[in-house]
Amino acid sequence: MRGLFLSLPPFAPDYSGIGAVFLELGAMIVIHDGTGCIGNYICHDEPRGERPGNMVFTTNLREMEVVMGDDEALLEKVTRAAADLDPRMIVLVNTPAPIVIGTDLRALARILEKRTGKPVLYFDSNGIRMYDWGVEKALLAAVERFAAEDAVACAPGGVAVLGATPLDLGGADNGEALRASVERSSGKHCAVIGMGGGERSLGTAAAAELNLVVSAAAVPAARWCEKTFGVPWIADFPAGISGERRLGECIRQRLSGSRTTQMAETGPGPRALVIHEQVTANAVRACLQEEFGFGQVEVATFFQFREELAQPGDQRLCEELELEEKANTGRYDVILADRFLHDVMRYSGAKLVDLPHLAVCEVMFYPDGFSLAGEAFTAYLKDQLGQ
Amino acid sequence: MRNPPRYLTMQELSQIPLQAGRYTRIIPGRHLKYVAPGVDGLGLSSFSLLLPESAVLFIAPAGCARHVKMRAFAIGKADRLFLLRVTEEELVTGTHLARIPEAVEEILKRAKERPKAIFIGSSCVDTILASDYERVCRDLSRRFPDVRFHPSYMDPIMFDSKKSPDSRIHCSLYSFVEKQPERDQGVNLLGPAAPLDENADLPRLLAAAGFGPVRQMCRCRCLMEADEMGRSRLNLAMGGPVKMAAEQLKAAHGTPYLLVPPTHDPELVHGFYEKLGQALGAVLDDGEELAKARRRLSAAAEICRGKRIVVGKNYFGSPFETAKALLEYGFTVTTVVKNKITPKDKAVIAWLAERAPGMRVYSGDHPTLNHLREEHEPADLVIGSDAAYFYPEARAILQDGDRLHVCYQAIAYLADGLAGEEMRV
Repeated sequence: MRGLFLSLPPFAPDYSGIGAVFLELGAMIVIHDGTGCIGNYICHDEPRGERPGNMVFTTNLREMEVVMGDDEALLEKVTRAAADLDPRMIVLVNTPAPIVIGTDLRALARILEKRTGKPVLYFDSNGIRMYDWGVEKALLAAVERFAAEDAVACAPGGVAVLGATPLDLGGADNGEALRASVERSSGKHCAVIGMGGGERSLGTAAAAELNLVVSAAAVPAARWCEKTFGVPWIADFPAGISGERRLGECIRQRLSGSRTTQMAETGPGPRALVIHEQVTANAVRACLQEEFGFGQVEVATFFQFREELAQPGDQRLCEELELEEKANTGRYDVILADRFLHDVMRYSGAKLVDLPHLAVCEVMFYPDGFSLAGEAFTAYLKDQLGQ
Repeated sequence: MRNPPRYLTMQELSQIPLQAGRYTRIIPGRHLKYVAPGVDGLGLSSFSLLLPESAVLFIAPAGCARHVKMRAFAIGKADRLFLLRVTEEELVTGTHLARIPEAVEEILKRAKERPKAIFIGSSCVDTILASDYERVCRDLSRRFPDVRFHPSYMDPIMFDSKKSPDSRIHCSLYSFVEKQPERDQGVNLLGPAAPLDENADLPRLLAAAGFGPVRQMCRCRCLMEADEMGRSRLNLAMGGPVKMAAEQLKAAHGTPYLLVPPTHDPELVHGFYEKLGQALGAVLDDGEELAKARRRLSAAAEICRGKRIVVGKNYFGSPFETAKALLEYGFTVTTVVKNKITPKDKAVIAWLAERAPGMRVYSGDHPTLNHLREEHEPADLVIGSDAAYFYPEARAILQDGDRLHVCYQAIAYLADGLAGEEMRV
């Protein structure tokens, strides 16, 4: 039945994606909700939740404010907090309840800019869409507003990583693991925007030699940076030892002006299905084919699906039933997906391998120390595949 | 340039005028709310699924269901909680309600164990839209006569109203208990999700006077056992959110109720046992337990001499009452963490203001508390998970999530924790 999740957990919602982008950029993130939505984000979707000084708050929306249309409550609360905490910017995040009553965050953002003297961004998230929508909108708005300004303080050159959030990368330390991996593979300095790159890291997207897009949601921001600053971009992720090597070659090719993408040739090896965010899943596919001798590997995702990044057989999933039908065809020898998706695929006949995805399993269940980048991921796959 | 974490002294708190309405915020003026990581959800999965042979169908935007379902995974009950995701168009047109019967049919066909009772859960948006889930449940009962249905609510926007979601979740849970033709000498303990500890004084003192069993929903293994709660002659309601459920049972079954005081004060516990005896028409002899509790607190105070204690709100009982009880026995309480006060708190605050006027009171949800952890304020012992979060270097005494300690045993548990049990966060 459409919309019915019997086994699958609900995935991280759009407002979690927005929070994940802005958390390390000096923003005061204000979630306009009754407390449930902020709890979802800060307690379940954000492994950096205990960082001192995080400025993530709820407006604590209540019935009477809704019924009376009391927008002044939000204005008063945010203005007070801005005076107390002096944030770099304010980010207003909408949620289902105020969306349903037509709260005009755009107008409120304008009023707040005048009252606080701070830049104010707003997002009409609704808790119905998923985190990738939030990451896309947040990242695009952030680079449009701040990349030029922050670029002044950034060293030119190197690689800037766009689209890195714990929702795809996992643990709070994985931004650093990704940075190290990219630097090893490219021989260039690297800044991971929003995950360890610093409060002004948005400027690196304008100042870099190349932008590395590590999630499909970051493609619009990368395109904008290419159009505005002339910074080229590629979509890839250094999954496994082969991934680091391939990434280095892709970066060198792209910087030399080439636009071709390397794709591993499909051989006669075992067949697999990879379910994750699209760019990550593509990288895992390449790792399976190059390092582990897999043949046909298909990618499926519940999140953003870009045709330009897809290969034949890849698919966007929307419903639990679609996952069940895709997986339980008996076509795959191995299926790599977050373990919270495994129950639906229990009749697939395939070996089910846990490919943790925080946007699915949440902070509590994400394995400590797991990383998709570089040698650590190769070691993990060797262990899981029994090789 | 940011401002330091804001607080009031107990003296200042005693002087703030109470606002009209249910509560007054510690820090005056409307402010954003800070949510410390680790805060638990409302309990739609924790409490509703206490009902054996039941399931929850939650109809909501997918995001709203996230923590509900993940909490169900954490407590091993995910196979009893289902989500019907709604779109914006469906919410606005109300067509999502028409899809519920089909979803229920699917659940009854495909659930690992066919439920005999189903909670139909809704979120803030349905509250705003005034969706009639009572009617939905009546229709479902007609269509599936062998299954019991009741609505349940997870709508945090209603927290300031009398029908707050934590109250209504409990009302929904206990509304499944069927009235029974005969009563026995049993007593129900309504509220907590954890079972009573085996050494609890409450069932022991009741048994000595010829009363029992002490029934709890979490101990029922099937719906029939849950219905046996309808035989009990008295309900004991633990915690403010359960009071409405107790009143509901009184109206529906005629079962009287008593509130169990959330206290660590031996004298108040003794007062409760006196009232309980009067309600049952018996004398409950708690003299020995009372004396033991007093000795235990005194001994713990001696061991903790000079240690600075912070009392948070994420622990059984009012932090003001706990601070008072500890001060009376000679402990040193330096700080209390509490977001709001009610008229019931006025007397204890006045008492504290007189004896410890400089005691700090932090509002745990004020935005400036986002950097209290960095301040490294001095504290040796903290009570409650919120206080433990703000004072990470102090030794923490946390609520036992697996076993319920109440009355004199709650005092013993706290005293032992303060005196010597290591319970790091």
